Amino acid sequence: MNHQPFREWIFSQEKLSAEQDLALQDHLDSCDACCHLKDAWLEVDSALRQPAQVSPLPGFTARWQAHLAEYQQMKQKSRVWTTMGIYVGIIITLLVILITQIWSFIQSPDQFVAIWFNSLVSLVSIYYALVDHIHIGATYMTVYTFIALFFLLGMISFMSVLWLAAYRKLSMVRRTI
Amino acid sequence: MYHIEPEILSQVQIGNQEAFTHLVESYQRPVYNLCYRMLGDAVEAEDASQETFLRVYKNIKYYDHKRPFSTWLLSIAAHYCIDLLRKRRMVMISMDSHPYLDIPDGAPGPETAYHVMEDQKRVQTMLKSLSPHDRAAVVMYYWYDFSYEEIAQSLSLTVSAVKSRLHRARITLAQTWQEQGMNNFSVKRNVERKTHESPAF
Repeated sequence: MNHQPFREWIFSQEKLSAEQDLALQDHLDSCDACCHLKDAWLEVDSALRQPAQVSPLPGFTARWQAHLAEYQQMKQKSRVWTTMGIYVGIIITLLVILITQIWSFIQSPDQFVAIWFNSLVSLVSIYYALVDHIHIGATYMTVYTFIALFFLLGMISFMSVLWLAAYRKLSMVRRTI
Repeated sequence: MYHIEPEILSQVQIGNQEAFTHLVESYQRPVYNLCYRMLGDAVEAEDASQETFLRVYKNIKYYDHKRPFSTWLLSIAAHYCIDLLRKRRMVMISMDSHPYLDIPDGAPGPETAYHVMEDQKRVQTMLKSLSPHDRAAVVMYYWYDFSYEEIAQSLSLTVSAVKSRLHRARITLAQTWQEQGMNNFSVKRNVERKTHESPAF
């Protein structure tokens, strides 16, 4: 015996048509299995519709306040540790740089001064080279080139955002039925 | 459905602790009830409710006023419980600890109250036969009168997925109820037979 449409109708929340209702009644009269299933469902439905709510033990709000205080304390502690960690990291890095510099100065002071002087000269020359390039670019660049460059940069930024969004969407766990 | 004044919500959003305490007082019962229906254990439900309110506290600035607050709050609780159930699928949950059961007003007497309690215990056991998402959909539909749209919004599902999940859940619940009924019947029959048995047999 095919029970399929009738079992669908037993659990359906939509109103059945007159023919469907009649067909279901006929089937239930002749099929014990479906009849028992329907009875079971009616009992479950009635039990589910009894609005019995469970409540927490008294003092829930007080426990929540204690829980919140604990969380805030933990957060404060973690914030202090993070700040301290950052400061300690910066201090250690600076100390390492300072010690290596002092060490190389003690080893050969002439060479140390020469290296620093060279570095300074390189920085100044890089700065002037950059200024020259900007001047040349500004002289030869037409308005159209500037607009084209602007659009190109805009396009690249847009594509990057699009790619990131697509990646995020694809990598998210899909909820299926 | 449960309601909270928009002024209190605004106060909560600007970090007013007193307003948040009022919010916890107003919503502790629905949140706890949902957690208990989902997890089936009073102690776990208490922890989950506390965690839900903590998550609400942390994320209240993201709450969109266009959405009903109760839907948003219960969706946080449901998602947390679903995650817990997924993580603890293999851990057996004790059914020994029962919370306070609020029998609806107008209940005729202790006998009815007892039957309601027994039915609720049976329902609770049956809910465990459902998958976490199906369970959440059933709880929201029957205990909170959520519409299909609200359930879909709360559980990040489509409306058709919610309908299909509820339909599947109803079938599972009816079948489990039937099986439980048969077990009870066979136990009863065995007990009856034993009481009527003659020592000679």
